[in-house]
Amino acid sequence: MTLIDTHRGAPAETGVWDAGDVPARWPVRLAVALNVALTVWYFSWLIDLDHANNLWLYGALLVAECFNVMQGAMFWWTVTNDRRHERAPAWTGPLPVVDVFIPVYNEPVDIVEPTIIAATRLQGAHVTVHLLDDGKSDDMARLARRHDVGYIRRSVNKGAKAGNINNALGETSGDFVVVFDCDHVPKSHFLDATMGYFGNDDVAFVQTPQYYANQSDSTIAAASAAQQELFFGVISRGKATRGAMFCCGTNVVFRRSALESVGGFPEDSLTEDFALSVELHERGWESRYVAEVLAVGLGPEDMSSYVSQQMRWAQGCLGGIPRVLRSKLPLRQRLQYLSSGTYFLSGWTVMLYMSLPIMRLVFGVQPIGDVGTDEFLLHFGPYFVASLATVAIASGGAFTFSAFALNSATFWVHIRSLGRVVFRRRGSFVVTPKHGAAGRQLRPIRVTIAFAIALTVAIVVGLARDPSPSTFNNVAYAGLHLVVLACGAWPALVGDSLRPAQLSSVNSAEVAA
Amino acid sequence: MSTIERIDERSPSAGTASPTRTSSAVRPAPPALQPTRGVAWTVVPAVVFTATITILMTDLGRALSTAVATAGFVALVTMSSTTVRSSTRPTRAAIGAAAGIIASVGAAGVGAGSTSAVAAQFALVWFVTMLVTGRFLRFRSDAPTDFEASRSFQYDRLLLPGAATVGLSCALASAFDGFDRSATIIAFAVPLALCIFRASTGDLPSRSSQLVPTTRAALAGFAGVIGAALTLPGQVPSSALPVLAGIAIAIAALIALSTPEQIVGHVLRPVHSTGWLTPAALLLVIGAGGTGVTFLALAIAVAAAVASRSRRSASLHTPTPSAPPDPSPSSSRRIVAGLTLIGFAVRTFTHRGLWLDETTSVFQAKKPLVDMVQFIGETDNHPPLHHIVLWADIRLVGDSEFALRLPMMLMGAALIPMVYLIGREFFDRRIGLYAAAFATVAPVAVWYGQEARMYSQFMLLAAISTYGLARILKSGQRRYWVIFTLANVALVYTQYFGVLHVVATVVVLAIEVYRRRHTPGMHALLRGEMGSIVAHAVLLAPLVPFALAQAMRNQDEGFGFSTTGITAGSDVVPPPGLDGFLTNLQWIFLGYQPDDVSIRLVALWPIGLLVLLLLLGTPRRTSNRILLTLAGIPMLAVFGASFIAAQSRSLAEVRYFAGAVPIFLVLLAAGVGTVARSRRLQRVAVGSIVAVMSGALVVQQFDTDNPRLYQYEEAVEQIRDDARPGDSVVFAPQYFNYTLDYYEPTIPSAPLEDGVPTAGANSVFIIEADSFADSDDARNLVDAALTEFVDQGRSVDARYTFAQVTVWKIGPAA
Repeated sequence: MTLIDTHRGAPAETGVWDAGDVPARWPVRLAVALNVALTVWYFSWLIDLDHANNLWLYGALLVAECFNVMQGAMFWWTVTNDRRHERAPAWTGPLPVVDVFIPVYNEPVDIVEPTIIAATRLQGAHVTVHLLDDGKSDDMARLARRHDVGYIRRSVNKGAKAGNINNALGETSGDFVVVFDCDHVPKSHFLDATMGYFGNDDVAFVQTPQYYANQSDSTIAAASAAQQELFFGVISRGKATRGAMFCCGTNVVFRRSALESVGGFPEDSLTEDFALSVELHERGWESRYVAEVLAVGLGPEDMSSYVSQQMRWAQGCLGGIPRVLRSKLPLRQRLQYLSSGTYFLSGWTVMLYMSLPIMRLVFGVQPIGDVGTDEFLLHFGPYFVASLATVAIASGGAFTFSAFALNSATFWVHIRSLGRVVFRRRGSFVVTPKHGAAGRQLRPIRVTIAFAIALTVAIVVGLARDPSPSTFNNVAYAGLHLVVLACGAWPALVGDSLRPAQLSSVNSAEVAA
Repeated sequence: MSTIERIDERSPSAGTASPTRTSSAVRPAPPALQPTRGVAWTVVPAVVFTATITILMTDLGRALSTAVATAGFVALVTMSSTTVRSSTRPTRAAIGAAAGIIASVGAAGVGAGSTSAVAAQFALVWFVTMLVTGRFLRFRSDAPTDFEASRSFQYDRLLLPGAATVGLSCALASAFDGFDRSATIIAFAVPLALCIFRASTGDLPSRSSQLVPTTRAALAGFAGVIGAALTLPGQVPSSALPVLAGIAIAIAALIALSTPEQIVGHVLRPVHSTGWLTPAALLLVIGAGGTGVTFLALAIAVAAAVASRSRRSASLHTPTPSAPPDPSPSSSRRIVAGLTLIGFAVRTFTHRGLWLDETTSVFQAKKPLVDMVQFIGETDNHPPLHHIVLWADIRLVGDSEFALRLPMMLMGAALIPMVYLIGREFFDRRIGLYAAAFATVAPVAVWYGQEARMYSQFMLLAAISTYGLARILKSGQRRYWVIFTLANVALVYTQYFGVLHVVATVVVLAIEVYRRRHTPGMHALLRGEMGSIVAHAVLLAPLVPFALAQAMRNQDEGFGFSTTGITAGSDVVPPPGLDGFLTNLQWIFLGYQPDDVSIRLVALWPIGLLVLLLLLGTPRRTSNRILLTLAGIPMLAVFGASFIAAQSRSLAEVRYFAGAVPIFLVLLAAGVGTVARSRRLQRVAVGSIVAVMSGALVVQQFDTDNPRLYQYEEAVEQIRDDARPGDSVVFAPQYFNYTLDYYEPTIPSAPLEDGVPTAGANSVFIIEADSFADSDDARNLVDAALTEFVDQGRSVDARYTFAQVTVWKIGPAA
């Protein structure tokens, strides 16, 4: 007799993201219902000027809380429709002709080679693999020759990855196009699991999850993977159900005619996939999502890589918000896009929450005053617990504290990204580095360190000035933020990264599998 | 496998013993827990020296008992410090260190006044000195030095918490490998130097304010440790000790910072006289800075733990590493035995006298058995089992304070192995050991383990029931059904609130039956549950008329079961609500603290949010769910009832769900095992928690601001010293007669309800006991009596104030 637990969490590499770990729907819906009620309970108390102490801070807190609730509401709306997806219908008729694009830009050969090998082994279609080399590397050309795959090199690099793919579209003719980032190794049945959806002529693309194989060796990769698991798990399943799954740039199959109908990938966006999806959905095309790990890739292994990736995503998605607002998408799709785009504003709320105890401890001002612990906790506590519980239940335990901490410790990325978008400072398309850097990386966390120091100083000043219970309460808040920041920044502080030898072995292992 | 080692399996190999056996075969045997050669050099002169001091300083009888007790402590300290010094295993060293500190602290409980202070300080300083010198300097005889140091601290008992923190810090620092001796020496030297400097100023402030600079000195010491560690190349990455151990200091500092008015007074006074650069101001700055550093350290430590956990748990290419291997059964048994002995020692040392509820129980238990049961049925609102135990105890052991409390001390000690068993059954031996370590020093468990009331029995029986339940769920053997049922029944016969635990176990069983509805084992479990329920009903049937009679009588008297009737301490029970809930959580883990400390600890509730965040992504475990159900249902039921019946605020009290305390301790241990995955981090975390609990225990036991402390004995002693033949005592409220009967049955006494004595040639002592449910009535009675005495031409010759009790001496009529 046993009472062995059901372990939820990351799917096995060969797992299906909607088979083993989709929570039953009723607990999710119950959690969401509870969350809604408790949110009302909290806000009905919060929105009361009698509770305001410093009006400016109170206003800022209110805005931040409203933003969070809007994000939360979108999440709840998405996850309540989470459901298992049926297996793709089988492809009928003659084998389709598929072009596989692997865009590269100065990545190491040892990273790209396993992807090429795996791509050549794809089953279920007439597959032609093309290496799209914007790095103009002779090594890549030799690699392509060695594996007998196509090699496309542009004379002028224009439009970054989008331009590279568009260029290749002009030089190929397959009915379908698959895009793999050069570090994403597909499984041989990738096409078997996706092509069947194209039996519906309205389907423009079929997206599959990004899965990081290197999370066992890098703390940042692991945390980043947990973030991905939340997105490619419950959120993407929900988006797909709402007909709003967008393309994520890799591990995706396109119908060529759909791409051509919108003129290929938009080249003026940092997140060409996001912008392309808006275009396609606007024109009535549909998207599908296969919640099964069909390709295994590498996540960012160090803080610089992670920040670089997040910066590009944030800037691209924030920059895409006006386009979404102007679009003629149905409301449900527009809301889903807005939800994903505005997520990259959440760093502002993190900064505000961290600043509040500092303001109280150092300057003695606070947003809410004349309220006892009992009263505040009675309203805020249930809301907070329910929110966490909803995320935990809906994600099946995939979202971890490390993921949360990494996100919080890089809050400044969102702030900088918004600044760049607002002031129209177009960033360059920076390919996420594929090898982690050795040693500590203080540069990407200097803002984090500054806030950590500020929190520490605030604790010292607050306690030295007035060791009252109220100060202790704010000290605890400051300590909470300090812990979260430290956890997020820890890998960069201690220089946690993957060794190249391990990295090669990861991809080799994927190929062998 | 048909019978699994644990209820939860983290990995297929996690429960097997073979890896442990294999590794232990190649690992050198750890040193035994016994003094090594050369220790006699220090033990003998120390014992002789201590005994000499005590004989010289007090009356012979007390001196002898003190000397004997202190000698025992010294021996314990010696053994523990020897273990620390010679141990190659951190756990053993940490336990040794903890034992040493506990023994040192315990020494303070021997006797009263300066003797115990000297003894305790001697033991403590001796321990630290011996540790440092024995480990690094290789000196052997250091008694004279100790005496000088301890003399400096004479009469300053509350130096103990700070010094204990210092000692424990040093011990921990020494105990763990990867930590350099220079850091330890700094840890020892800085606070000690500050303490001596502070004491040598000759300004010995009040006890509470002394706590502040001393603890801050300890904190400064830890800042020194961290600083030293940071300067040692290669040390920091390999050891998270300094930062994690700093958690202990953070809490100690928070406790120390709990007296703002004293802090202000302490700072302002020197500021006015000599400017900011005074020791007190310096200590204030160091204290606040140290707290900041400690929080930073906490952040770094948690970050290290989380990083290690997240990286490993996400592994795809290698199997998810299991938790650190379990200790072997034999070593676990030895450790648990040691902890039980320490736990018993801790529980035996208390200086507080009996309080009202205890003397009431004694009064009842001195009656013949049948009369007693009948009397309880007619006048009390508790079931009789605890009184029966007390009845037997009085006849077998006696009615001294120690004898009266002995059964609960034993049950409190027995709780430690039971907690271990619960941890082992629901998780593994490692978690069981952590939980047992917590139970050894958990302040609230110690408090009720020293009280001649039923709450220690409550905890033990609930723990036995929980263990039985675990075994039932794993093996389903009949004998565990019997154990489970008998424990539950005895629980209800001990305290009516035990019903809530029984209900929780029924709920757990029902859920398990449902979970196993598709398995072959479901029918057996269902049959067992049905049988157990019937057995419960049959065995509890005789209690029903007894309880109903009590309920009806209480109802007639206006109490009902919504209040506990005559209940002391009602004004220190927080009102039902979140504040009360948080206060009770604080009581569960940190015991009864002075009000200003409690308020600050409760204000730290955002740390709870952090804990919730840390649990994100951790696997859901059946064991956690079961234990949370067992602990949560009684607690929430008590709070729910208390909340609904707003007039019964005294219900919202940890003792009414005391059965949840051991379960919470197991959950705490499991939490450590979940958040910190490496063995070292777990041990450091456990050591830190034990240190925090020990510090809280010391404050609980020795701080007279503890609202649960009633110095009735001291008050009666004062009257005894002052009274002359013919003097009399009046008191309010009337229930105080039980206490007077116990401590001073010879002086004529009467409750104030019976009226004020008329003018006479003798003195009258008025006793007003505070913190009773009807303390306002008592105060009114006393005020009226004082007025009447003045009208009689009498004067108030003296007024004595003790914790929760005031004594007036009214002179003879003019």
